Amino acid sequence: MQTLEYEFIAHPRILYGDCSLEEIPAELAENDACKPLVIASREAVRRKLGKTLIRAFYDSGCIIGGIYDEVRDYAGISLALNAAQLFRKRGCDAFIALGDRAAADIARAANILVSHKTDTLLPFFNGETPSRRLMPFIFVPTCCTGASAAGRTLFIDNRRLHSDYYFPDVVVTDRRMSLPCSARCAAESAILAMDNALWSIIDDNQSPMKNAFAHAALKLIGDNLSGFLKRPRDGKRALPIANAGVLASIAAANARPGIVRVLGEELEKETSIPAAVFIANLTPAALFCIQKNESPLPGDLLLAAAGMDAYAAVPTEQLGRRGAEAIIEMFESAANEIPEAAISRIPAHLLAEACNNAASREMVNFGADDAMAVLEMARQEMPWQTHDNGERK
Amino acid sequence: MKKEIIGTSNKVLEVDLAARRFWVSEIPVGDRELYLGGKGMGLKLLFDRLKPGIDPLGKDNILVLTMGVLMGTGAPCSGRFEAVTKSPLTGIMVTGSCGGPFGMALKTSGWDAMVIHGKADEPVFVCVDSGGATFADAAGIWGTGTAAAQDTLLAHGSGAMVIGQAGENLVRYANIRSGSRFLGRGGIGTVMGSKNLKGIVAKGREYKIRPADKKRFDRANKRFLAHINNNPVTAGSWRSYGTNANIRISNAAGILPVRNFTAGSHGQAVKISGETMAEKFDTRHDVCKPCAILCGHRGTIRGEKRHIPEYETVTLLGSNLGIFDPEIISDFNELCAEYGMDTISTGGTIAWAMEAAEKGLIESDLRFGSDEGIAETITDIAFRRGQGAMLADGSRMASKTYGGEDFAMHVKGMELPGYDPRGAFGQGLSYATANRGGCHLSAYMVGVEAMFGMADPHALRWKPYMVKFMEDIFSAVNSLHICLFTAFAVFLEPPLIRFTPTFIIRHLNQNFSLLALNLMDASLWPELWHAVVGKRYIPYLGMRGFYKAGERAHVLERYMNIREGIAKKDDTLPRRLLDEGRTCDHEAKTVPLDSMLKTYYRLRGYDENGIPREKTLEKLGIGKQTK
Amino acid sequence: MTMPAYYDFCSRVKTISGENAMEKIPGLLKGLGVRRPMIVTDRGVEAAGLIDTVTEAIDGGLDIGAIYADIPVDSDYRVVDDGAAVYQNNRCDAIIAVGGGSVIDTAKGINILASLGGKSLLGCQGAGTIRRKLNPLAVLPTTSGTGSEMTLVAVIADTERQEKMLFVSHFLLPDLAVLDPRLTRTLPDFLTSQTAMDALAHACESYYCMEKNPVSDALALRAISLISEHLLPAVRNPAETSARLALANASAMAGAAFSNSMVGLVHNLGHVVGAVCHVPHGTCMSILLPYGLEYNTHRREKAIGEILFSLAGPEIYAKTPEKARPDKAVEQIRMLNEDLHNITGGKHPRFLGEIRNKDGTPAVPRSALPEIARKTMADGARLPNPEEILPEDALMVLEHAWAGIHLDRSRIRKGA
Repeated sequence: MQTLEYEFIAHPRILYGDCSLEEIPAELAENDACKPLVIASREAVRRKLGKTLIRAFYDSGCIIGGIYDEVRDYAGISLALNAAQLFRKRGCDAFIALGDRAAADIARAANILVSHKTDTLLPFFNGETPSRRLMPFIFVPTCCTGASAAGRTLFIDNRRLHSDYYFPDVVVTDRRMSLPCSARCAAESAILAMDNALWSIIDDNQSPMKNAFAHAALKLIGDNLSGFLKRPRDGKRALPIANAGVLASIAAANARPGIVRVLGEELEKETSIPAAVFIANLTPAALFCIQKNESPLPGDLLLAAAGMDAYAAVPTEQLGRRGAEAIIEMFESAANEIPEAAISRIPAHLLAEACNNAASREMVNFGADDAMAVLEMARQEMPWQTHDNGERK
Repeated sequence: MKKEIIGTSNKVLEVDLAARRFWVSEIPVGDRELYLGGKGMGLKLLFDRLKPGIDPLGKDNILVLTMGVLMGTGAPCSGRFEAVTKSPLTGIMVTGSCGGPFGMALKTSGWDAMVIHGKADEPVFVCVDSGGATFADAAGIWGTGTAAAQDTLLAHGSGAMVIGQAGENLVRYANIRSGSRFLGRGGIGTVMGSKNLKGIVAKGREYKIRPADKKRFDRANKRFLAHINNNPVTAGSWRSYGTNANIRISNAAGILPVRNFTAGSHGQAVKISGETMAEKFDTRHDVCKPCAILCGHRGTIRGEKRHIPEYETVTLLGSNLGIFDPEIISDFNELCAEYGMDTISTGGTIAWAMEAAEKGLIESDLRFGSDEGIAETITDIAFRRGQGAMLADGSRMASKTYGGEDFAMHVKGMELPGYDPRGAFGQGLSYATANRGGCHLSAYMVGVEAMFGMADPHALRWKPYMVKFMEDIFSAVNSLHICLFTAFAVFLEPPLIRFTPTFIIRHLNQNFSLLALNLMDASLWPELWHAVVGKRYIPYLGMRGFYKAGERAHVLERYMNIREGIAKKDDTLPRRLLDEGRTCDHEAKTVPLDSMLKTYYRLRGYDENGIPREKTLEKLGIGKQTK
Repeated sequence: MTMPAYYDFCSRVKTISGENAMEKIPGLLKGLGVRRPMIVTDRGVEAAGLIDTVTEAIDGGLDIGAIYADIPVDSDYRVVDDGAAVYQNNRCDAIIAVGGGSVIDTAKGINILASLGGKSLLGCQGAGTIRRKLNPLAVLPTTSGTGSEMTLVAVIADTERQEKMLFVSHFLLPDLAVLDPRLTRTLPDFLTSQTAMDALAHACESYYCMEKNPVSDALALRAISLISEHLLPAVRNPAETSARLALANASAMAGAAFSNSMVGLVHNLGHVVGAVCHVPHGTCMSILLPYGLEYNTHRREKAIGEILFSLAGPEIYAKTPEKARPDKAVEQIRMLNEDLHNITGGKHPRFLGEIRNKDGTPAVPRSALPEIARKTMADGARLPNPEEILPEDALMVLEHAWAGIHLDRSRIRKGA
């Protein structure tokens, strides 16, 4: 029996598919804005996506107030301050983030700065909540979005701020924009989207709305993953996966962060190896751990990953296990593009520290022991690959 | 009549602090050839003993102190010893060289190296003489500054090394004091603190060191001295003004870090230049022993006799914070010296804090250009009080928690020294590849690029070759072990270089680098080493072997770092240097690291992820136990 | 799942569900900067004591500026104007709407006027009037069916001009939808059944209509399974809190689904039957729903087959051959109607001819069908239906629905 105690919000308006870029001016107009500042990531600039965006504005009354293209892979307050300054100087009235997570976060942060007419985020770091009337914020994910870009978290300068107002107002997934930049990027975005969807479904808060979003995401990935990994830049496959990323991040925004995600992020902090690498490698281990503890996995996983027919053919008591198998299979197919995270090469005290940090993060419902158990499991799973442990004699 | 050691004693004093016992081991004969001494030998000793992946502040970490081969022979500038351990600041190997009297004392007590294991239950200090080590209770001096502690310890011997409060409180960039010199970087003092080891004192003067081939040694030594005394750097500007002679040069070349590396020069820089300080403070020499360069100075500041801050201190605690008053900088320097804290990392971390405060990431009154609160902050760091606790972990850890990673000026966790690589791209590469992190002594490319104008600072061609060449040489020099500053004399004084006009050298360097580098004559160093250990020196081959030994030490250190998880991802520069142009440049320039790195890896025999290939390791004989 | 080439989805309502959901209102409204909300409701809800329950739940947390309970069943723009005046006079800064579809629409209207300023809603007509965030609006639905808490539409009647003013804007989406079983406690069984069938119709139609998309699909399927699982228990035993909460959830999810995928034949005919014969909306929906599925089966065989999965569960789905699934789904819905008819003692009608007015006369005389069929052409829900509907088709379906017999498949004109 589901308990229906929950809160849920899916703020972003989702635009998907052909010509959705051309809808942006109308979306702006609906929000009483006509001069957006575009915040573009390096990859977006390199692929000249800014120009594509400008072309989509040709037939509209909107003009682009400016393109801020200094964003790199790190979202820092310095960039947000510069972007906010440009926003004011050009008299803009909306934000369009074009690119990855960093671009979105810079836009969020700059949005607070200009909407609150301030030059510091310090009060917000100290717990103040932003006002309801932020500027309209449209997000056009391109690639490497970290799969949380459409969520309610502002990740800037290594701090996480949460608020419903950090959701983008509109998320646009368009064939011209949202294709992965490389096979690795493709695999990572699929993995991160799966991770979001997976842990939203496993989350103890069983909100049917959140599950619906996660379900839709997982189903889209399940239907398209193998084709997508073969030909990452084929829009027919890539676009649904990109869309799944958006849906999954909305689901994840309404769930507790999953153990693998949190652990991956903390390990990234310790080792500067991208979190996606850990997530790709740790998820099977984490699912094993859950099964080993005999906590039931929701049957929803199988339903979403394998479809109704497969679900209906499996006896009830096996649903959890079969679901985990289906998910692990999906992860493993995507993980081929991603290097092994050689857990055994990471100094033990860093692993312990990452586990402790992970367990002390906000909203998590696992302990450092659980995190360590996952790492132990992963270590068993993954034999030493590239280098021995230094005992070269 | 003192006992004599011919060449090297090859004896290693191994100390276990937990059990309070010691034992003696031998340096394997083969290792002497492969790793020379000093840094190379220290790394090898550590490599044979240290398990990868341990906590640098835990009981499993090991501190290795090694003496140079030339030490005690009377070779100029040879009074230096090396410390090697796993750094709590960077989590990888750290090596440090120091000119204090402890080295000579240990060496003349008959020890070529000392290895410290384990963790004492209670504060101790160790007294060493030719018979071994004894352990003494340090409760009485625990909590004292470096000067007082050193004075206490010197009752037991002729040379001591001690930590201050910073080391005791595990400030991650605490250093070790010996005399008025410091084992500065990477938190070697913190490792001592974590072992409850306040200091080590060596009796010294028990042995006399005699080169095996005294005649050849004297001959080479004479030439060496002549070079040093002829060179306009070693015998000129640095002898008169110390390392601060570089301030004016750096300022003119646009590589002086100002306000956390946002600018490369400043109108007031002349106020902190060596020339100004020499005049203002009436400076006298105050140097390591033995020394022929005489770069260290002491003068009268605020009515006291104080050591003149070195270039890195002046830049990092001065211009980089927007402070251009040498007296104030000296105040900070004295504080850091007393607490036993690395001035570069202290300055770099405070600069980060200033910018973070300015941008609203942390609450603090620290501001660029104002000395208000800095002295208090230094003290807070040393005692890990208030915000000092966060800053005591260094800019990398602070920025991981509080943000501002884009302007945390460190490489692999070690704060950058006082040269902005946007005005010297080769230096940028060398920062990125330096084994211990943001370090200028791995390959002093600014010297070639900005000071002597021997290469175009913004050219990329051949820079990886030069960096590799210099890294090998420096690594070898630190294994002799002799002062790096002698490089000016050794390289610039041989006739070929001396009489060739700079523009031709520059042209050669830039376009025929391989040829130019091979024409460099560094034979003096290997000649001295061979004379001491009594091996036959074959002119060209000896020099190649010397380079090779340097390369071996460098790659071994890299390999040990790889075991700690280092890879290409870590061979990078702060984002500010890669992404942000400076207004002082005519055209905004950032360091184009990636292209240089690729070539560098190829030259080094690393794979594209920066990991030494099997073949490379094999070729250098790394990993084999030599017995 | 067939991925549409283009779709858009928007349902930015913060939903709070739970047996103590109402207690969370003060905190959430404060987060929206609210200090003095006005409660908008109708006399029926007030008489049922629900307003006391609400005020009790949010007591202490907020200062209630006013309670406006004067919303008649056939609300119009003058009610809105009145309400806005009360709002302004009491210096309120948000609205809490407690009631069914009519109350919620009126509250949206009041919010437009109160937020944008002005004396009358007549001044706020026209496309693009609403271009900024309105004041916070929290909706507490007391029926589980209309899904108005998740829609971006407000329909306000203009009785003088005999027309309906339609306001469409994303800013009309409420900020908060509160699903609390205490709110539907007093609903009689036949209303529970009808409104739930309304929600079921929303969900089913959104699953096969033209603008279906992955999100609306997932929401719809979940809504269907919640209704099929919980409707009968809720009707049988109104005290069963969890079942009623599930229905409220299903209604909200179906609302979110259909407002993003549009509805088809069932609503098309249902709207007109309701308008011409004054039959409750839910009743029309429950009767017409099986016909909607049957009429569109040849176009959406797979989708309608999949509805069976949620409707009857995986076992029955697995047992039924793929070809037979759509018919089985239709059969399931008919069975559900039959069961509801029995449980409510006949208050839940099974076919149009069975509907009675209060005085016992047939509400939908057979003679009215041609007129209804003609008027369906003017209804907006005609277009998103997968198969085209012309008046003769509508009449054909209506005749079947009137008599309560299965649709004769051979009479469906399968367009190109």
